[in-house]
Amino acid sequence: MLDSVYTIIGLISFVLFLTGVLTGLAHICKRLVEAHCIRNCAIKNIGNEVSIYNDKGAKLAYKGICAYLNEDHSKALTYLENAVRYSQVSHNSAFCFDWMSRCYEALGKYRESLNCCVKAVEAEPSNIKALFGLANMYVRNGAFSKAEFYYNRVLRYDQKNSYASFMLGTLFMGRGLYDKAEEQFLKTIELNNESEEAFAELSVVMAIKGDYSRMDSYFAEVTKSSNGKYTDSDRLRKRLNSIKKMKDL
Amino acid sequence: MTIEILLLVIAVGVLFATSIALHCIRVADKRKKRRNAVEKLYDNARFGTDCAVKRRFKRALGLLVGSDYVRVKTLRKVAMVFVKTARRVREPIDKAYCLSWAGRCYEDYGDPVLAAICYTAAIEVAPSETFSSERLGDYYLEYSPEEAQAHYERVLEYNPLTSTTYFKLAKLHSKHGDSDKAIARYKTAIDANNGYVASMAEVAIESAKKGDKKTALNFYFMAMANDVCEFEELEEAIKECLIQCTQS
Repeated sequence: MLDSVYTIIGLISFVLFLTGVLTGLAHICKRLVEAHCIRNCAIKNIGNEVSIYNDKGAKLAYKGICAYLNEDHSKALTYLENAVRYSQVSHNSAFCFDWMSRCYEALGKYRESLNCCVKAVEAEPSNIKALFGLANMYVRNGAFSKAEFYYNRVLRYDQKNSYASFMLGTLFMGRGLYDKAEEQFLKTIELNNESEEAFAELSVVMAIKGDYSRMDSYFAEVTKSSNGKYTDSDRLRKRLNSIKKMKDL
Repeated sequence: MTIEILLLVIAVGVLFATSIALHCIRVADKRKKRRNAVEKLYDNARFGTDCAVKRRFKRALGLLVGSDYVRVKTLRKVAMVFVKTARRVREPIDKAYCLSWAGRCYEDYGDPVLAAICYTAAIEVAPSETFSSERLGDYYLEYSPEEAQAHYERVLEYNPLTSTTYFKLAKLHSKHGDSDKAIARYKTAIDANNGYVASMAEVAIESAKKGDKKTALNFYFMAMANDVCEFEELEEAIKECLIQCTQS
């Protein structure tokens, strides 16, 4: 009788011990995996060719990105500011400013974020990522003419960039410049004939211009180019019908 | 027997230690999130070198963003902390900032009168506190439109690029039946923020009310080009206005 009691106590203690140890281990593993993912992501962003062990600036930038991914934005900013000081190549400075802009944005400091984007472009005027960041920032602030200037600069350095071309088209469209928008969307389709968004916007332009046959053909292209995966086609159809009705008013 | 009991004690101890460690980690994570949120909200305050006031303000913000679900009771307490902080701050702009935060807390607490008092105090201390002016404008909108207009105009005096304030002012003019002024304000809102779709839609409706079909359609198409959300309602509103205009 006493033996079985001892065995039960032993078993219970073993199970409790195992549960405690396994829970602790599981948590440690989870943390390690998270940290590993963050490290990998940071290294991917810096670029595998840069050795973070030999370059102090790169090491600081790596730490900054890790802190950003860990949602410690103030710490990330400190690291990145130091990284800018150490970086001797303009490309690296632009890279750090780009990440600093993200940190400021996460902290809700939009003016500083915009300043960092401007500094990134100043550091390396041909950096497409920086130019994109600045243009997108201007779009968010409603400064469309400035955004247009920077999208055009992206296209100057990378003529095959269909996204910049599409964004330019939407900027024209938003300001009611339908002819220019049409031209730009056609250029976008030349660069990427599977851009369903460009086809969709083109169909809207055609509806506004009253060219219904081309509107229908572009609408057909939307579903064709996306293999029926374009999720907003119902809404787009309704939008086109609404414009049509108002046009015939 | 003693060995078994010892083993049991060790096992319970391990389990206990693990759960405490996990709890500590969770608390630390929560603190980190709270600290980040406070940093995010803290950006506009300066507070000079007065560390005690700084800490007090941060503590109040910390209480506010401590959990996803802020208890109503806590809001009132936090508002009081902000008011007390405002008393100790020297710089008028920081005083106004604390008071505007107190106003926000009272507003969320469901006491618009106290909120309005805080906002008014904030404006008295620093007239450039545009957030308080805008909120006061919203507060007076229903029963004292003239006062609301004065507050909105003060916002524009200090920050002429706020498209939402132009939009609210235009709505006020539209409510009084002054279509021309409303359209002018809506257009300024569009200029202040190029993509202000809501203003485009409103210009279309106001122009339709006046019977100006061409402008109404132009702005309707612009709103559609900017992918306005409720385009079906907009279409109906414009049609209705145009029909009413032709009938009259």
